[in-house]
Amino acid sequence: MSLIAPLFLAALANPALANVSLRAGVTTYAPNSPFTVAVHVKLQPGWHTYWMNPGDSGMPSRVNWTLPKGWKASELRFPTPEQFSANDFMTYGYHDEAVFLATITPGAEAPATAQIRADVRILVCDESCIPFNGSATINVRKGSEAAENSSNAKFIQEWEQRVPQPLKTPGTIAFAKEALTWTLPAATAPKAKSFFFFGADPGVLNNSKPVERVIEENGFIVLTLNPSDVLYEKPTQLRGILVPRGENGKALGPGYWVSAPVK
Amino acid sequence: MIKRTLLVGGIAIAALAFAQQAAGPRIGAVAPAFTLPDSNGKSHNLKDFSGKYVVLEWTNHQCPFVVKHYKNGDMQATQKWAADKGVVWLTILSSAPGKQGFLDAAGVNSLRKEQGFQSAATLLDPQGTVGRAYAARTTPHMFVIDPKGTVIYMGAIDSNSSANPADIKGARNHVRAALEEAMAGKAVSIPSSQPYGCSVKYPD
Repeated sequence: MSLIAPLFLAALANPALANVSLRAGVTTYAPNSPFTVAVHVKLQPGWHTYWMNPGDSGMPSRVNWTLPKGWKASELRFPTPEQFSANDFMTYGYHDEAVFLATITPGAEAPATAQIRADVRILVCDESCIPFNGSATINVRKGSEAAENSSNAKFIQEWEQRVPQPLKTPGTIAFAKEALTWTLPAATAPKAKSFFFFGADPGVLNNSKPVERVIEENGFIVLTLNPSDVLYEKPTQLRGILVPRGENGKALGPGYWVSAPVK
Repeated sequence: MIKRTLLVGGIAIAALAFAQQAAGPRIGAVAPAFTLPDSNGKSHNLKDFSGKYVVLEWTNHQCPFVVKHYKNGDMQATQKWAADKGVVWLTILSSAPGKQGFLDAAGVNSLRKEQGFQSAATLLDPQGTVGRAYAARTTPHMFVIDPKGTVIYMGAIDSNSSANPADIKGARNHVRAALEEAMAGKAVSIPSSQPYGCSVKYPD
Protein backbone atom coordinates (compact mmCIF):
# COMPACT_ATOMS: atom_id res chain seq x y z
CA MET A 1 0.00 0.00 0.00
CA SER A 2 3.01 2.28 -0.07
CA LEU A 3 1.92 3.84 -3.34
CA ILE A 4 -1.37 5.09 -1.97
CA ALA A 5 -0.33 5.96 1.55
CA PRO A 6 1.19 9.40 0.86
CA LEU A 7 -2.17 10.93 -0.06
CA PHE A 8 -3.81 9.82 3.15
CA LEU A 9 -0.85 11.01 5.16
CA ALA A 10 -0.98 14.34 3.36
CA ALA A 11 -4.65 14.69 4.27
CA LEU A 12 -4.05 13.79 7.90
CA ALA A 13 -0.97 15.93 8.23
CA ASN A 14 -2.66 18.96 6.74
CA PRO A 15 -5.68 19.99 8.80
CA ALA A 16 -5.33 23.47 7.28
CA LEU A 17 -6.52 22.08 3.95
CA ALA A 18 -9.84 23.65 4.90
CA ASN A 19 -11.24 25.26 7.99
CA VAL A 20 -14.85 24.97 9.12
CA SER A 21 -16.61 27.44 11.37
CA LEU A 22 -20.24 28.01 12.31
CA ARG A 23 -21.97 31.35 12.70
CA ALA A 24 -25.43 31.65 14.24
CA GLY A 25 -27.56 34.67 13.45
CA VAL A 26 -28.58 34.90 17.12
CA THR A 27 -26.81 35.13 20.46
CA THR A 28 -29.81 33.75 22.34
CA TYR A 29 -32.59 31.54 21.02
CA ALA A 30 -36.23 31.28 22.01
CA PRO A 31 -38.12 27.97 21.81
CA ASN A 32 -39.89 27.50 18.45
CA SER A 33 -38.25 30.60 17.02
CA PRO A 34 -36.22 29.57 13.95
CA PHE A 35 -32.84 31.14 13.27
CA THR A 36 -30.17 30.82 10.62
CA VAL A 37 -26.78 29.20 10.92
CA ALA A 38 -24.00 29.58 8.35
CA VAL A 39 -21.42 26.87 7.77
CA HIS A 40 -18.32 28.71 6.63
CA VAL A 41 -15.68 26.60 4.90
CA LYS A 42 -12.44 28.42 4.21
CA LEU A 43 -10.19 26.79 1.63
CA GLN A 44 -6.59 27.39 0.72
CA PRO A 45 -6.34 30.20 -1.86
CA GLY A 46 -6.92 28.79 -5.33
CA TRP A 47 -8.62 25.62 -4.08
CA HIS A 48 -12.24 24.80 -4.76
CA THR A 49 -15.05 22.59 -3.56
CA TYR A 50 -18.44 21.62 -4.97
CA TRP A 51 -22.14 22.46 -5.14
CA MET A 52 -24.91 19.91 -4.48
CA ASN A 53 -24.33 18.61 -8.02
CA PRO A 54 -20.58 18.66 -8.61
CA GLY A 55 -20.95 18.30 -12.39
CA ASP A 56 -18.76 16.09 -14.57
CA SER A 57 -16.42 15.10 -11.73
CA GLY A 58 -16.02 15.76 -8.01
CA MET A 59 -18.34 15.03 -5.09
CA PRO A 60 -21.48 16.72 -3.74
CA SER A 61 -20.84 18.79 -0.60
CA ARG A 62 -22.71 17.50 2.45
CA VAL A 63 -23.38 18.73 5.99
CA ASN A 64 -24.74 16.56 8.81
CA TRP A 65 -26.20 18.28 11.87
CA THR A 66 -26.15 17.21 15.48
CA LEU A 67 -28.77 19.17 17.41
CA PRO A 68 -30.62 19.02 20.72
CA LYS A 69 -33.48 16.51 20.73
CA GLY A 70 -36.47 17.59 18.68
CA TRP A 71 -34.61 20.39 16.92
CA LYS A 72 -34.66 20.49 13.14
CA ALA A 73 -32.28 21.74 10.46
CA SER A 74 -33.70 22.76 7.07
CA GLU A 75 -32.24 21.61 3.77
CA LEU A 76 -29.01 23.47 3.05
CA ARG A 77 -29.30 26.69 1.08
CA PHE A 78 -26.41 26.69 -1.37
CA PRO A 79 -25.26 29.93 -2.97
CA THR A 80 -25.37 29.84 -6.76
CA PRO A 81 -22.11 28.14 -7.76
CA GLU A 82 -19.46 29.10 -10.27
CA GLN A 83 -18.60 27.06 -13.33
CA PHE A 84 -15.16 25.50 -13.58
CA SER A 85 -14.21 24.10 -16.96
CA ALA A 86 -11.27 21.91 -17.87
CA ASN A 87 -10.65 19.43 -20.68
CA ASP A 88 -14.12 19.86 -22.20
CA PHE A 89 -15.73 18.96 -18.88
CA MET A 90 -17.62 21.20 -16.50
CA THR A 91 -17.91 21.23 -12.74
CA TYR A 92 -19.90 23.49 -10.39
CA GLY A 93 -18.59 24.85 -7.13
CA TYR A 94 -16.90 27.55 -5.09
CA HIS A 95 -13.32 28.75 -4.88
CA ASP A 96 -11.43 29.95 -1.80
CA GLU A 97 -14.49 29.64 0.45
CA ALA A 98 -17.95 28.15 0.56
CA VAL A 99 -20.90 29.05 2.76
CA PHE A 100 -23.90 26.80 3.29
CA LEU A 101 -26.93 28.18 5.14
CA ALA A 102 -29.60 26.34 7.12
CA THR A 103 -32.57 27.32 9.23
CA ILE A 104 -32.50 25.75 12.68
CA THR A 105 -35.83 25.32 14.44
CA PRO A 106 -35.61 24.75 18.20
CA GLY A 107 -37.88 21.97 19.41
CA ALA A 108 -39.28 20.51 22.58
CA GLU A 109 -35.95 20.32 24.37
CA ALA A 110 -34.80 23.81 25.39
CA PRO A 111 -31.44 23.57 27.14
CA ALA A 112 -29.92 26.63 28.79
CA THR A 113 -27.06 26.27 26.32
CA ALA A 114 -27.87 24.53 23.05
CA GLN A 115 -25.01 22.90 21.22
CA ILE A 116 -25.12 22.88 17.43
CA ARG A 117 -22.64 20.75 15.57
CA ALA A 118 -22.06 20.51 11.83
CA ASP A 119 -20.03 17.73 10.22
CA VAL A 120 -18.89 18.72 6.77
CA ARG A 121 -17.89 16.21 4.12
CA ILE A 122 -16.47 17.82 1.05
CA LEU A 123 -13.89 17.27 -1.65
CA VAL A 124 -11.28 20.02 -1.94
CA CYS A 125 -9.30 20.34 -5.14
CA ASP A 126 -6.69 22.35 -6.91
CA GLU A 127 -5.33 20.28 -9.79
CA SER A 128 -5.92 17.15 -7.76
CA CYS A 129 -8.42 16.46 -5.01
CA ILE A 130 -8.43 15.45 -1.37
CA PRO A 131 -11.51 14.48 0.66
CA PHE A 132 -11.95 16.71 3.68
CA ASN A 133 -14.04 15.91 6.74
CA GLY A 134 -14.32 18.71 9.25
CA SER A 135 -16.64 19.75 12.00
CA ALA A 136 -17.51 22.82 14.01
CA THR A 137 -19.62 23.39 17.10
CA ILE A 138 -21.29 26.48 18.51
CA ASN A 139 -23.32 27.12 21.62
CA VAL A 140 -26.42 29.27 21.66
CA ARG A 141 -27.91 30.35 24.98
CA LYS A 142 -31.61 30.23 25.75
CA GLY A 143 -33.32 33.58 26.19
CA SER A 144 -36.85 34.83 26.66
CA GLU A 145 -36.66 35.99 23.08
CA ALA A 146 -34.20 35.55 20.24
CA ALA A 147 -31.46 38.19 20.22
CA GLU A 148 -29.62 38.92 17.01
CA ASN A 149 -25.87 38.60 16.71
CA SER A 150 -25.37 41.60 14.46
CA SER A 151 -22.04 40.72 12.85
CA ASN A 152 -23.15 37.16 12.15
CA ALA A 153 -26.53 38.38 10.93
CA LYS A 154 -24.77 40.70 8.49
CA PHE A 155 -22.54 37.87 7.26
CA ILE A 156 -25.58 35.61 6.82
CA GLN A 157 -27.51 38.34 5.02
CA GLU A 158 -24.64 38.85 2.57
CA TRP A 159 -24.63 35.15 1.73
CA GLU A 160 -28.43 34.85 1.60
CA GLN A 161 -28.22 37.35 -1.26
CA ARG A 162 -26.17 34.81 -3.24
CA VAL A 163 -28.76 32.07 -2.72
CA PRO A 164 -31.33 31.71 -5.53
CA GLN A 165 -34.91 32.68 -4.70
CA PRO A 166 -37.76 30.33 -5.69
CA LEU A 167 -39.19 30.87 -9.16
CA LYS A 168 -42.85 31.42 -8.37
CA THR A 169 -44.31 30.41 -11.72
CA PRO A 170 -42.05 27.65 -13.06
CA GLY A 171 -44.33 26.84 -16.02
CA THR A 172 -44.35 23.34 -17.47
CA ILE A 173 -41.59 20.91 -18.34
CA ALA A 174 -42.07 18.16 -20.90
CA PHE A 175 -39.79 15.30 -21.91
CA ALA A 176 -39.93 14.03 -25.47
CA LYS A 177 -37.47 12.82 -28.10
CA GLU A 178 -34.58 12.93 -25.64
CA ALA A 179 -35.02 16.63 -24.96
CA LEU A 180 -36.56 18.58 -22.13
CA THR A 181 -38.78 21.43 -23.19
CA TRP A 182 -39.49 24.03 -20.55
CA THR A 183 -42.26 26.52 -21.21
CA LEU A 184 -42.48 29.60 -19.01
CA PRO A 185 -45.03 32.39 -19.18
CA ALA A 186 -43.06 35.35 -20.58
CA ALA A 187 -44.91 37.81 -18.34
CA THR A 188 -43.49 36.29 -15.15
CA ALA A 189 -40.23 34.81 -16.48
CA PRO A 190 -36.98 36.55 -15.51
CA LYS A 191 -35.92 39.10 -18.13
CA ALA A 192 -32.70 38.02 -19.82
CA LYS A 193 -30.66 37.98 -23.03
CA SER A 194 -29.82 34.35 -22.36
CA PHE A 195 -30.08 31.74 -19.62
CA PHE A 196 -27.85 29.25 -17.86
CA PHE A 197 -29.32 26.41 -15.84
CA PHE A 198 -27.48 24.61 -13.04
CA GLY A 199 -29.15 21.18 -12.86
CA ALA A 200 -29.23 20.06 -9.22
CA ASP A 201 -29.70 16.34 -9.82
CA PRO A 202 -26.61 14.61 -11.20
CA GLY A 203 -27.14 12.83 -14.52
CA VAL A 204 -30.22 14.75 -15.69
CA LEU A 205 -28.72 17.56 -17.78
CA ASN A 206 -25.56 18.07 -19.78
CA ASN A 207 -23.37 20.03 -17.38
CA SER A 208 -21.43 21.98 -20.03
CA LYS A 209 -24.33 23.10 -22.14
CA PRO A 210 -27.59 22.59 -20.25
CA VAL A 211 -29.52 25.12 -22.34
CA GLU A 212 -29.54 24.32 -26.07
CA ARG A 213 -31.72 27.24 -27.15
CA VAL A 214 -34.29 29.74 -25.98
CA ILE A 215 -37.13 31.09 -28.07
CA GLU A 216 -39.97 33.42 -27.24
CA GLU A 217 -43.33 32.75 -28.86
CA ASN A 218 -46.98 33.48 -28.14
CA GLY A 219 -46.28 34.94 -24.76
CA PHE A 220 -44.08 32.08 -23.62
CA ILE A 221 -40.35 31.57 -23.19
CA VAL A 222 -39.41 28.09 -24.39
CA LEU A 223 -36.10 26.62 -23.26
CA THR A 224 -34.78 23.45 -24.86
CA LEU A 225 -32.56 21.67 -22.35
CA ASN A 226 -29.84 19.17 -23.27
CA PRO A 227 -30.11 15.90 -21.37
CA SER A 228 -27.02 14.31 -19.87
CA ASP A 229 -25.44 11.52 -21.88
CA VAL A 230 -26.25 9.25 -18.93
CA LEU A 231 -29.98 10.08 -18.78
CA TYR A 232 -31.83 6.89 -19.71
CA GLU A 233 -35.42 7.56 -18.69
CA LYS A 234 -37.79 10.45 -18.18
CA PRO A 235 -36.69 12.35 -15.07
CA THR A 236 -39.49 12.74 -12.52
CA GLN A 237 -38.57 16.33 -11.75
CA LEU A 238 -36.36 19.17 -12.82
CA ARG A 239 -34.50 20.92 -10.01
CA GLY A 240 -31.85 23.57 -10.24
CA ILE A 241 -31.02 27.22 -10.66
CA LEU A 242 -32.16 29.29 -13.64
CA VAL A 243 -29.67 32.13 -14.06
CA PRO A 244 -30.72 35.01 -16.33
CA ARG A 245 -27.87 36.65 -18.19
CA GLY A 246 -27.66 40.07 -19.69
CA GLU A 247 -25.31 41.66 -22.19
CA ASN A 248 -21.99 39.83 -22.62
CA GLY A 249 -23.35 36.79 -20.83
CA LYS A 250 -23.10 38.49 -17.44
CA ALA A 251 -25.24 36.86 -14.75
CA LEU A 252 -28.08 39.04 -13.50
CA GLY A 253 -27.96 38.05 -9.85
CA PRO A 254 -27.94 34.57 -8.30
CA GLY A 255 -30.92 33.35 -10.31
CA TYR A 256 -34.03 31.40 -9.36
CA TRP A 257 -34.49 28.02 -7.73
CA VAL A 258 -36.76 25.71 -9.68
CA SER A 259 -38.27 22.44 -8.55
CA ALA A 260 -40.98 21.22 -10.88
CA PRO A 261 -42.36 17.88 -12.08
CA VAL A 262 -41.55 16.71 -15.61
CA LYS A 263 -44.61 15.81 -17.67
CA MET B 1 -5.16 23.85 -15.42
CA ILE B 2 -8.59 24.87 -14.32
CA LYS B 3 -10.09 27.93 -15.92
CA ARG B 4 -12.36 29.73 -13.57
CA THR B 5 -15.51 31.42 -14.62
CA LEU B 6 -17.10 33.75 -12.13
CA LEU B 7 -20.81 33.69 -12.64
CA VAL B 8 -21.82 35.93 -9.80
CA GLY B 9 -20.73 39.45 -10.48
CA GLY B 10 -18.24 38.28 -13.07
CA ILE B 11 -18.02 37.52 -16.74
CA ALA B 12 -19.29 34.20 -17.97
CA ILE B 13 -17.25 32.84 -20.83
CA ALA B 14 -17.40 29.12 -20.26
CA ALA B 15 -20.67 28.55 -22.07
CA LEU B 16 -19.15 29.95 -25.25
CA ALA B 17 -15.92 28.00 -24.97
CA PHE B 18 -17.65 24.67 -24.46
CA ALA B 19 -20.52 24.72 -26.84
CA GLN B 20 -20.30 20.97 -27.36
CA GLN B 21 -19.59 18.33 -24.77
CA ALA B 22 -17.31 15.57 -26.00
CA ALA B 23 -19.37 12.94 -27.79
CA GLY B 24 -19.00 9.53 -26.24
CA PRO B 25 -20.60 6.13 -26.26
CA ARG B 26 -24.36 5.68 -26.04
CA ILE B 27 -26.35 3.01 -24.27
CA GLY B 28 -27.52 0.44 -26.82
CA ALA B 29 -24.99 1.56 -29.44
CA VAL B 30 -21.81 -0.18 -30.53
CA ALA B 31 -18.90 0.62 -28.19
CA PRO B 32 -16.15 2.77 -29.75
CA ALA B 33 -13.42 0.57 -31.26
CA PHE B 34 -9.91 0.79 -29.83
CA THR B 35 -6.50 -0.84 -29.74
CA LEU B 36 -4.18 -0.23 -26.77
CA PRO B 37 -1.09 -1.89 -25.34
CA ASP B 38 -1.16 -3.31 -21.84
CA SER B 39 1.60 -2.96 -19.24
CA ASN B 40 3.27 -6.11 -20.58
CA GLY B 41 3.44 -4.74 -24.11
CA LYS B 42 0.61 -6.90 -25.41
CA SER B 43 -1.82 -5.17 -27.74
CA HIS B 44 -5.57 -5.47 -27.12
CA ASN B 45 -8.27 -4.71 -29.65
CA LEU B 46 -11.84 -4.51 -28.34
CA LYS B 47 -12.89 -6.78 -31.23
CA ASP B 48 -10.69 -9.54 -29.79
CA PHE B 49 -13.29 -9.95 -27.04
CA SER B 50 -16.33 -10.28 -29.26
CA GLY B 51 -18.62 -12.90 -27.74
CA LYS B 52 -17.68 -11.96 -24.19
CA TYR B 53 -18.79 -9.36 -21.72
CA VAL B 54 -16.17 -6.61 -21.32
CA VAL B 55 -15.79 -4.13 -18.47
CA LEU B 56 -13.72 -0.97 -18.94
CA GLU B 57 -12.55 0.74 -15.77
CA TRP B 58 -10.82 4.12 -15.86
CA THR B 59 -8.27 4.41 -13.08
CA ASN B 60 -5.71 6.66 -11.34
CA HIS B 61 -4.18 5.08 -8.25
CA GLN B 62 -3.60 8.46 -6.59
CA CYS B 63 -7.22 9.54 -6.88
CA PRO B 64 -8.97 9.26 -3.49
CA PHE B 65 -12.07 7.73 -5.11
CA VAL B 66 -9.99 4.99 -6.71
CA VAL B 67 -8.27 4.50 -3.37
CA LYS B 68 -11.74 4.22 -1.80
CA HIS B 69 -12.49 1.17 -3.94
CA TYR B 70 -9.03 -0.48 -3.82
CA LYS B 71 -7.99 0.16 -0.23
CA ASN B 72 -10.08 -2.65 1.26
CA GLY B 73 -10.11 -4.84 -1.84
CA ASP B 74 -13.63 -3.98 -3.00
CA MET B 75 -12.77 -3.29 -6.65
CA GLN B 76 -10.49 -6.32 -6.74
CA ALA B 77 -13.35 -8.48 -5.40
CA THR B 78 -15.69 -7.23 -8.12
CA GLN B 79 -12.98 -7.91 -10.72
CA LYS B 80 -12.54 -11.45 -9.40
CA TRP B 81 -16.30 -12.05 -9.34
CA ALA B 82 -16.51 -10.88 -12.97
CA ALA B 83 -13.49 -12.89 -14.10
CA ASP B 84 -15.04 -16.04 -12.62
CA LYS B 85 -18.05 -15.42 -14.85
CA GLY B 86 -15.88 -15.13 -17.96
CA VAL B 87 -15.99 -11.33 -18.13
CA VAL B 88 -12.93 -9.57 -19.62
CA TRP B 89 -12.14 -6.67 -17.30
CA LEU B 90 -9.76 -4.05 -18.68
CA THR B 91 -8.41 -1.33 -16.42
CA ILE B 92 -7.44 1.77 -18.42
CA LEU B 93 -4.96 4.44 -17.34
CA SER B 94 -5.37 7.75 -19.19
CA SER B 95 -3.27 9.99 -16.89
CA ALA B 96 -0.75 11.94 -18.99
CA PRO B 97 2.98 11.83 -18.15
CA GLY B 98 3.68 14.28 -15.32
CA LYS B 99 0.06 14.23 -14.16
CA GLN B 100 -1.52 12.59 -11.13
CA GLY B 101 -1.70 8.82 -11.42
CA PHE B 102 0.62 8.47 -14.41
CA LEU B 103 2.70 5.29 -14.30
CA ASP B 104 4.93 3.67 -16.89
CA ALA B 105 4.52 -0.02 -17.71
CA ALA B 106 6.85 -1.15 -14.93
CA GLY B 107 5.06 1.08 -12.43
CA VAL B 108 1.70 -0.34 -13.47
CA ASN B 109 2.99 -3.89 -13.03
CA SER B 110 4.26 -3.22 -9.52
CA LEU B 111 0.99 -1.51 -8.59
CA ARG B 112 -1.05 -4.42 -9.96
CA LYS B 113 1.02 -6.82 -7.89
CA GLU B 114 1.03 -4.69 -4.76
CA GLN B 115 -2.74 -4.09 -4.77
CA GLY B 116 -3.72 -7.51 -6.09
CA PHE B 117 -5.57 -6.37 -9.20
CA GLN B 118 -7.87 -9.09 -10.57
CA SER B 119 -8.55 -7.36 -13.89
CA ALA B 120 -7.26 -9.05 -17.06
CA ALA B 121 -4.89 -6.19 -17.87
CA THR B 122 -4.15 -2.50 -17.41
CA LEU B 123 -4.15 -0.70 -20.75
CA LEU B 124 -1.90 2.32 -21.21
CA ASP B 125 -3.54 5.40 -22.73
CA PRO B 126 -1.14 8.25 -21.81
CA GLN B 127 -2.33 10.40 -24.72
CA GLY B 128 -5.92 10.02 -23.58
CA THR B 129 -7.14 9.00 -27.03
CA VAL B 130 -9.32 6.13 -25.88
CA GLY B 131 -10.39 8.05 -22.75
CA ARG B 132 -11.68 10.84 -24.96
CA ALA B 133 -13.36 8.42 -27.37
CA TYR B 134 -15.32 7.12 -24.38
CA ALA B 135 -15.76 10.62 -22.87
CA ALA B 136 -14.28 9.13 -19.71
CA ARG B 137 -14.45 11.98 -17.23
CA THR B 138 -13.78 10.53 -13.79
CA THR B 139 -11.79 7.88 -12.02
CA PRO B 140 -13.38 5.51 -11.57
CA HIS B 141 -15.61 5.65 -14.67
CA MET B 142 -17.07 2.32 -15.73
CA PHE B 143 -18.40 0.86 -19.00
CA VAL B 144 -19.97 -2.54 -19.54
CA ILE B 145 -20.08 -3.96 -23.08
CA ASP B 146 -22.13 -7.04 -23.98
CA PRO B 147 -20.96 -9.98 -26.16
CA LYS B 148 -22.32 -8.23 -29.29
CA GLY B 149 -20.15 -5.18 -28.60
CA THR B 150 -23.03 -3.00 -27.37
CA VAL B 151 -22.67 -0.61 -24.44
CA ILE B 152 -25.08 -1.79 -21.73
CA TYR B 153 -23.86 0.31 -18.80
CA MET B 154 -21.82 3.46 -18.31
CA GLY B 155 -21.21 5.64 -15.29
CA ALA B 156 -20.33 5.31 -11.64
CA ILE B 157 -19.12 2.09 -10.05
CA ASP B 158 -21.83 2.39 -7.39
CA SER B 159 -24.65 4.49 -6.03
CA ASN B 160 -22.83 6.34 -3.25
CA SER B 161 -20.68 9.24 -4.43
CA SER B 162 -18.82 9.66 -1.14
CA ALA B 163 -15.05 9.29 -0.70
CA ASN B 164 -15.49 7.03 2.33
CA PRO B 165 -14.71 3.31 1.85
CA ALA B 166 -17.21 2.49 4.63
CA ASP B 167 -20.02 3.65 2.30
CA ILE B 168 -19.31 0.92 -0.28
CA LYS B 169 -21.13 -1.75 1.73
CA GLY B 170 -24.55 -0.10 1.58
CA ALA B 171 -24.21 1.07 -2.01
CA ARG B 172 -25.57 -0.57 -5.16
CA ASN B 173 -22.71 -1.79 -7.38
CA HIS B 174 -24.05 -0.75 -10.80
CA VAL B 175 -21.46 -2.78 -12.77
CA ARG B 176 -22.17 -6.00 -10.95
CA ALA B 177 -25.93 -5.43 -11.19
CA ALA B 178 -25.71 -4.71 -14.94
CA LEU B 179 -23.70 -7.89 -15.57
CA GLU B 180 -26.03 -10.01 -13.43
CA GLU B 181 -29.14 -8.69 -15.14
CA ALA B 182 -27.71 -9.00 -18.66
CA MET B 183 -26.42 -12.52 -18.02
CA ALA B 184 -29.89 -13.50 -16.77
CA GLY B 185 -31.37 -12.23 -20.03
CA LYS B 186 -32.99 -9.23 -18.35
CA ALA B 187 -32.88 -5.60 -19.33
CA VAL B 188 -30.30 -3.60 -17.38
CA SER B 189 -32.43 -1.66 -14.90
CA ILE B 190 -29.92 1.14 -14.35
CA PRO B 191 -27.99 1.42 -17.64
CA SER B 192 -26.23 4.68 -16.78
CA SER B 193 -25.45 7.10 -14.00
CA GLN B 194 -23.38 10.22 -13.49
CA PRO B 195 -19.87 9.04 -12.58
CA TYR B 196 -18.21 10.57 -9.55
CA GLY B 197 -14.59 11.05 -8.55
CA CYS B 198 -11.48 12.80 -9.79
CA SER B 199 -11.33 14.22 -13.28
CA VAL B 200 -9.29 12.14 -15.72
CA LYS B 201 -5.85 13.74 -15.90
CA TYR B 202 -5.65 14.17 -19.67
CA PRO B 203 -2.73 15.96 -21.37
CA ASP B 204 -3.14 19.76 -21.50
